[in-house]
Amino acid sequence: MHSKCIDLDKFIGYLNKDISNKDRAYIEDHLSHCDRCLEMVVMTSQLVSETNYSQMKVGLKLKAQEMWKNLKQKIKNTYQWNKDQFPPLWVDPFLQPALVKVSYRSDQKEETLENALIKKVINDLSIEIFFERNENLVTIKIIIIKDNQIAPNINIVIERIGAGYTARQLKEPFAFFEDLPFGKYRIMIEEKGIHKGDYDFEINEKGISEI
Amino acid sequence: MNKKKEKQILNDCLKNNKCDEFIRQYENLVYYTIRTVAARKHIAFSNEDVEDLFQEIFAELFKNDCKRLRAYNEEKCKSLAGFIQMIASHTIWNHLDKVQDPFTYSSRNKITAVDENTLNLFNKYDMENQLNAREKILIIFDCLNEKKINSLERIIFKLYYFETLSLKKISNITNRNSGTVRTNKSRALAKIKHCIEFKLKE
Repeated sequence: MHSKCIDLDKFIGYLNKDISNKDRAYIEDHLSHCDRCLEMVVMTSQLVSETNYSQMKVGLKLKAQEMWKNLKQKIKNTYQWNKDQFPPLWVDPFLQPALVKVSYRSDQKEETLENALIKKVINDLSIEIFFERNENLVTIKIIIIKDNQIAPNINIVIERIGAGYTARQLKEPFAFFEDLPFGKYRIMIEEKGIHKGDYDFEINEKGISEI
Repeated sequence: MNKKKEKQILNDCLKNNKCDEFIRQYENLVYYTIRTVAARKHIAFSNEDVEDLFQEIFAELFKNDCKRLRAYNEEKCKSLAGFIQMIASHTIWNHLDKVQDPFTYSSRNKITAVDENTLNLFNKYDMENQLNAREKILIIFDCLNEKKINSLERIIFKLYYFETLSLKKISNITNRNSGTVRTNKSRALAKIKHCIEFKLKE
């Protein structure tokens, strides 16, 4: 039985000659038996070397704006609530997964915390947002990294759409927003008073959906 | 477009979430790639198919917080346009797997048994020659799949004799020097000839 058809990462790596010897051997073993992939590699290689990019005309501005608007709808991400995910180290640096309880006595209530972790890049800021759900209320913990350290002079504002604002300054270890109900939110990030970007999402029973 | 402008458009998209200019710059390249692959595969795409593929290709670039686009490394890729074309091509091929045009289905390897109705369409002389040729091709395919031929030899043989690529192009695709390509081609040919002689004697 031969290996599965080449995934996109390996395909690009092979064509760019940016691949380990082990991966190259794996791909060539597959190509030697899969005419479909071999043809794809050949056709793409020829396309890339023959296409005259300078002759490609630029599209219309309005059409591109409309396309981007439609695509944003298409690619919005959804993050489901997860019972089994351990929080990241920056939330709980002392957590030792090996010591987490695996069973409960019948007279003990099992914790029903669910969580979700989202990672985003806005401008030059790397953002991690950890959501913890307890029934219908959510706690949000946010860390923002710049140049491999907690970004200084950051102000985080959370707006619950149609309901109000809450702001926090980012201080170690993270910014903390407690007991937020389900609904639509916008996180606005400011660095030294300058607006850096927003992140819009909805929190509901299923998880977090980007909007 | 120069590298500086390319970088600026890319950064606008990745850092500021403003990708409309990126789409504007590369939409015609994506359309061109879709139409070229379709033409080379002799597949007729409707306008709807083309638009669906267009959306799928850009979605692949932008999804998961532009993960694919962030993976672009200008030192390792010839150009951003080339990188986009590779993604476009891979996406189109995956789409082709789901779609089969019943009028232009091409299958070089799949030589099926010829039924009686089809046999009656040919005159006897032509038919005999064609059946002989088919038999020989089947023997070549059998020999090509023998374990004695390694992956690189098999690929080079196919690229040279089936895809009719020059040694230079094969060298470029496989990232081997032309001497290595020539040697492997000759070795594959010798092994296949030997195998054919053996099978014909059976």
